[in-house]
Amino acid sequence: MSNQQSRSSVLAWPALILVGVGFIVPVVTILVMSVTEPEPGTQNFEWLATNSTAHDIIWRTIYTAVLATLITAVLAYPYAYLMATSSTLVRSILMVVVLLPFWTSMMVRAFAWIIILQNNGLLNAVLEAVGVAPMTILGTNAAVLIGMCQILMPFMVLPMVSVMLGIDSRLPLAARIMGAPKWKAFLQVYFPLSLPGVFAGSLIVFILSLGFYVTPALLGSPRQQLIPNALFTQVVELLAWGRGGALAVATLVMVGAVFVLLYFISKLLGVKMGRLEDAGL
Amino acid sequence: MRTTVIGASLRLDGITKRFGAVTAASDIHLDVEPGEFISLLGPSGSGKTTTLNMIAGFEEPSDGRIFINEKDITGIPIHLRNIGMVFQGYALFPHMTVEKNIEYPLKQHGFDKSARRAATDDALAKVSLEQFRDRMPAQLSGGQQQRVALARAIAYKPPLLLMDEPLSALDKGLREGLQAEIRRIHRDLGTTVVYVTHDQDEALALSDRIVVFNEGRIQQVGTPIELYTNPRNEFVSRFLGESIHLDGAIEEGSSHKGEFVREEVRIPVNEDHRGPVQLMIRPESVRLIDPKEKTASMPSVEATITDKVYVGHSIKFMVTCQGGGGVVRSSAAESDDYEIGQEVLLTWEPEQARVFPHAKSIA
Amino acid sequence: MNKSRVALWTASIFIGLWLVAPTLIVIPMSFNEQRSLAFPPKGFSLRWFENFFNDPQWFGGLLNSIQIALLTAVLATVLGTLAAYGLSKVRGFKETFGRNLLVLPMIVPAVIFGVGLYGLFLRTGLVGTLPGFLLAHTVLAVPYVVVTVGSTLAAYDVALERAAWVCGANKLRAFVGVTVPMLMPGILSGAFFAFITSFDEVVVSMFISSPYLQTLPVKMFAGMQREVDPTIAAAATLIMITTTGAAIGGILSQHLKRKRT
Repeated sequence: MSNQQSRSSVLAWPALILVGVGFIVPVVTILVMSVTEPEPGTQNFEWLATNSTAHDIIWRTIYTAVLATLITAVLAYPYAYLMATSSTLVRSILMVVVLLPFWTSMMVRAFAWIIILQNNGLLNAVLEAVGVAPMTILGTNAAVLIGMCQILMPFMVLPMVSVMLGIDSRLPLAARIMGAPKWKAFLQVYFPLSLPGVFAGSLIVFILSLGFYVTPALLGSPRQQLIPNALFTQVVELLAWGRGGALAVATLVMVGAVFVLLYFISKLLGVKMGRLEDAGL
Repeated sequence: MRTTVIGASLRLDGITKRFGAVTAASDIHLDVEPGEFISLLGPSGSGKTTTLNMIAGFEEPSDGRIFINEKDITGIPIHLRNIGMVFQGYALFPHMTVEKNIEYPLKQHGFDKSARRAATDDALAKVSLEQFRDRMPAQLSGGQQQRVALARAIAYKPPLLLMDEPLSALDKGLREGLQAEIRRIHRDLGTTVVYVTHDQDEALALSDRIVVFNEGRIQQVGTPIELYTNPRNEFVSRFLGESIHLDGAIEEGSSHKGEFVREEVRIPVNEDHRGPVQLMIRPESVRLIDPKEKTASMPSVEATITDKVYVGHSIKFMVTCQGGGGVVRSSAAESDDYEIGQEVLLTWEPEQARVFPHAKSIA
Repeated sequence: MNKSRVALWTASIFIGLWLVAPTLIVIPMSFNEQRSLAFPPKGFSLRWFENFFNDPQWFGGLLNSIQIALLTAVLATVLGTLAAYGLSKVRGFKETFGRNLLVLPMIVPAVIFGVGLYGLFLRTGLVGTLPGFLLAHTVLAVPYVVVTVGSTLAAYDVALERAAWVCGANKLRAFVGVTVPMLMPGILSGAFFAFITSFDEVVVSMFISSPYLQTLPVKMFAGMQREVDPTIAAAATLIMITTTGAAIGGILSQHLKRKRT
């Protein structure tokens, strides 16, 4: 790269400055508030460490994120496998089916789930018609998971597909020629090669699950808050900026921990993690 | 139509390019005469493309200077260098028609509308693509795209034309036709051409002189015949054409200036150097002899035939011997009796052998 | 088709329906005759759309959203395209640092960004202002442009730009005349996605809006927590049509490039 060409890199500066000032500064501000508000000290982290409601919120957030990751991984794998093993036309159609809702308003989708899952909604109307007792779903963790997983699916499917498309389709056939039955050829050859996609998708989905605000606020119960909703309540309703900051720190620590954990797992299994951009957002 | 331009002279004065710890091109000195067709030949990673990129201005030399017509252009922005270039893979603008592609450099150089029209017509005529002027590049075949790229490069008659493996994407038949076309255009225009290729036959067919590159350094500069008959080292001899290589040493001899010695055999050579060497003979200069016909007066080397390939009127033998081996060509009539596995003797005229000091072992 | 393939298709069709179909339910709900969100809707009427367009809060929210989203799309597309191009010219640490910085807004939860921005905006008086919204939304939209333009750039043959330079074009003319047209599919889809990102944004917007400047999703979110008002369904239908339209535009323009090369 010549000097002449690398000078073009100044073109990146406006965006880098915008994100540096417009994003990093506010995020750091709220993080710093965790040790300065209402007065300098560690009182907010003591609250986080000792308050049982805070504990519940953190554990519920982790538990929900783990469940959301597992559910989307299990559902996305066959879908991605079908995409990767179909003709270009079928793959394009399946791709649009994944991408369209991805870009359709999160708000609208939460609203649609309210209509479906509410007590006098579509789901109970269908259940009644087939003779099953109606049940309360809206306002439970189950409703939150249904809504979240639907939104998270593309983030799991896309990295899986991009890894699966990179697998030489002759490899499972080679295993068959060498005497492996179909299921073994899949389990021993294809599946291990597709794992990097599963890891990359899981990483993204888990991290994104930690930050969901709209879906839990609309489909869940205020008594079963997740961290983002609790953060909002603390800051906007209770004006406890420091506690909000502590919750923000806790979230980012979890995000970092997941990165580290998955890094070591992938090292252990000898797979290379795709970059986040490979998710093809 | 003959529209001669004055070709530019080009001088590379010790240019070097380092990428971090890697030196891609090292201390390149070269003088190119106006109107000359010169090829930079070498395997990939040998520094030929880096050198071309420095002439074009895509890379700045870490050291050394570049002169076009004795004017120092080192550090001058690319668009002010007044060069034409044909790219590997053509680099035609896919969103412009053939005509717009060819017109592009004329526009950038400030030609007015009628001059652009005339020059575009002329360039299209030179590559016989007049009827394709309104096509998009994607609608053309590989050979046609190549000719559009050529037309674009010569449209404003640059005094220096750079070509980066322009024919490497084409199949053999098409390649030979286009070689002839490039030769003709070069003759008509009189522009100086620097041509990068890894294909020795292409370099031999096109060039006035060839610059052989290896490991970032110039190995030898010369006309095709000079390089073939008088290679300066083992790399050049192996890269250009086929040959037999033999390890040995040169000692003081009686009749000639020196004697090439390996085991008990002593063969006269015209060489002043003394010590361990590698001896090189071109395949057509070697004769195969049946061991039964061996005579004391004819110094020869024992070898075994490992392969035999018919190439039209001649036969190519692969031979190996202690510390050497290579290719021998001989006429079919004379040597059809020799078979694979057979022991033979190799002999040659002393003046046909070339000697490279400090020979490495032969792979 | 063998048994496992049938099972695969069946599962995938259900998954596809789960992804696409539920959202469509807002359309019939918005034509409901009754003041209810119970399913199934009864009758057909346009009163909720009338209500939407006659209520300055709803309609004003829509106009605000469109204005902010259009301006954000322009800003983010210009900044993101320049950034993607600039980053393609550097290697090593600088490139990694730049790319990672620019995708951070996609990874860090919006609530954290929103609450931090709220704290700063309270002090600087940017709450409920157009510049405040543009700053926040552009930050959130730039990463999408960087990613879409970046992926187009990855497939872009740099020899084309070099060819333009050798032909005598300076940096600017080569960029405008050759590079930008070649990147257009990525730039266009980046612009569409930037528009959607802004138009659909609710979490950060909630923090920085005021009664004087509110976007449509914020108004809708507030409405959903308060009352059962089918006007929300009408708003949802309008948002869905807008974002789906823009998404189709975005996806289609990404496919332009495949045709060309």
